[in-house]
Amino acid sequence: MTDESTSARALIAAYKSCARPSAAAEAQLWATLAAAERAEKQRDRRPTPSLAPWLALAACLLLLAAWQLDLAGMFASGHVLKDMRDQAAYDAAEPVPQEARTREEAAGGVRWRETVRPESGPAAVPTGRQRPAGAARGAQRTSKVVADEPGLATDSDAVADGDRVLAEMALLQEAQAALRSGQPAAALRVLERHAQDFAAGSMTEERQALRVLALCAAGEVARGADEAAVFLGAHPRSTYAARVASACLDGHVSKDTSEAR
Amino acid sequence: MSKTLDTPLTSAEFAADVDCGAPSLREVFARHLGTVWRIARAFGVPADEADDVAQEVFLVVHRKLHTFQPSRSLPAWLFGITRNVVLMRRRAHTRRERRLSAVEPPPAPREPEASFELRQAAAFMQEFLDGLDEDKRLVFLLADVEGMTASEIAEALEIPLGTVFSRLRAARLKLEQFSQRLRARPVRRPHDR
Repeated sequence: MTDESTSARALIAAYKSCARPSAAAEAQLWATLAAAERAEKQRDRRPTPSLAPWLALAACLLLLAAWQLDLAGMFASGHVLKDMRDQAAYDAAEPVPQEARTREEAAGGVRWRETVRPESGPAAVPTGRQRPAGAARGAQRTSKVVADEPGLATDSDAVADGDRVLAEMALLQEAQAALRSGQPAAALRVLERHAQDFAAGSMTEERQALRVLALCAAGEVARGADEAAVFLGAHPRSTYAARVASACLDGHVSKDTSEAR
Repeated sequence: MSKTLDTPLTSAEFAADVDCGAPSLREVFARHLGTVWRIARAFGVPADEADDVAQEVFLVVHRKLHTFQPSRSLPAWLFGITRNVVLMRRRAHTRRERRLSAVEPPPAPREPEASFELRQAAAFMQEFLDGLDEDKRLVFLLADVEGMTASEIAEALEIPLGTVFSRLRAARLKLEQFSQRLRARPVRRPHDR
C-alpha cells in the first residue's frame, strides 16, 4: 500500500465514499419514504370525518337514557310527586297576576291559597278551565288535600292537568300511607274520596288495586276477592295483578304495599 | 472543496441551495443519507442494521421536517434524530445487539465498481473508528468526515466548544498513528494468495 493511499485524508475520503447504504438499499429506502409521503398526502386530501354528528347522537342517546331512567326512578320512589310539588311550589312563588287577587287562609292548620277573579269580573261564568259551581266543593277539597303537604299551595281556579295528576297521586299516597300504618278503613275512605273526585282519573287502576288491598286488610275478604276478580278481569296484564290476586288468598296482607305503586 | 451529495451544508447554504426556506425530504435524503448512516455506525450500529436505522431516521425527518428551524444546523438536527433512534433501538434490542456484536458479521459487500484499494481503505477507516472511544469517534466523524463546524458539533453533542477541539485533536493524533502503522503493515491482495 502506498503512503498516499494510507494517508489520513485518503482514508477519510475512502470511508465517505464506501461507508453508506448500497445503491439498492438507497433506492429501497427512498421508495419507503416516498410511499409514506404519498400516504400522508392522500390522508391530507381525504376529508376528515367530523365527530360532531356522532357526538350529537351520543348526547341525544344519553339524554334519552337519562330521561327514561329518571322517569322510572321517580315513579319507583315517588319522586314524580315531589317534583310536581316542587313545580307547584315554584308556581306558587311566582308573582300573582295583577288582575287576580290572592286570598290566603289558614284553617285547621291547613294553609291553602285560592285565587279568585276580581269581583267586578264574570266570576260566576265558568270558563273551559273553570269548574261549574257544583264542582266547587270538590275543587276546594282537592286544593286542601294538595295543600296538606307543607309549603304547597295550589291555584284552584285553574287546575292544570299536572295539578290534577298531582292531586290524584296525593290522595293515593295518603291511602297508601294509611294502609301501611295499619289503618285500612282510613285508606278506604281516602280511596272513596279519590273515586268521587277523580272518577275518570288517570290513576283508577292504582286506586282499584289499593282498594282490593285495603279491603283484604280490613278483613272484608269476600268483597276484596270480588273486587280483585273485577280488577283482574279489567286489567289482566296489570303490574299489580299478582299482588291483587294474592291479597285475599290467606287473609294476610303485607304492609309493604309499595308494589301497588 | 467540491461539494458532493454527502457534503453537509449549513442551514443557510442549504436554504440558498434549494432556493427556499424549508428543505424538501428528497433533498435532505439525497444530501444526508450517508451522514446519517455513518453516524449510526459511529454509535456502534452494525453495518447490516444501519440501513434500518437510516430508514427510521428519515421517517422521523419526514414527519418532523416542518418543525425544523432554519436557524439551526441541519446536520446537528439530523444527528439528534439519529442518536435518539439508535438509543431507542438499543433499549428495545439490548440482548439482540449484544449477541450480534459478539458475532460481528463481515462488512456488507460494497458496490462492485468500488476499487479494492478504496474498499480496503474504507475498511481501515472503519477499523480505526471502531478503535476509538465513542466520544472521540463522534467528534472526529462529525468534524473530519462529515465536515461539520466545531460549533455545530458542540450543539449536536451538547458539549463545550473546548471539549470538541480537545477530542478532535486526540482523535486526529490517533489517526496519524494508525496511518503510520498501516504503512508498516504488509498488505495482502486477493491475487497474492
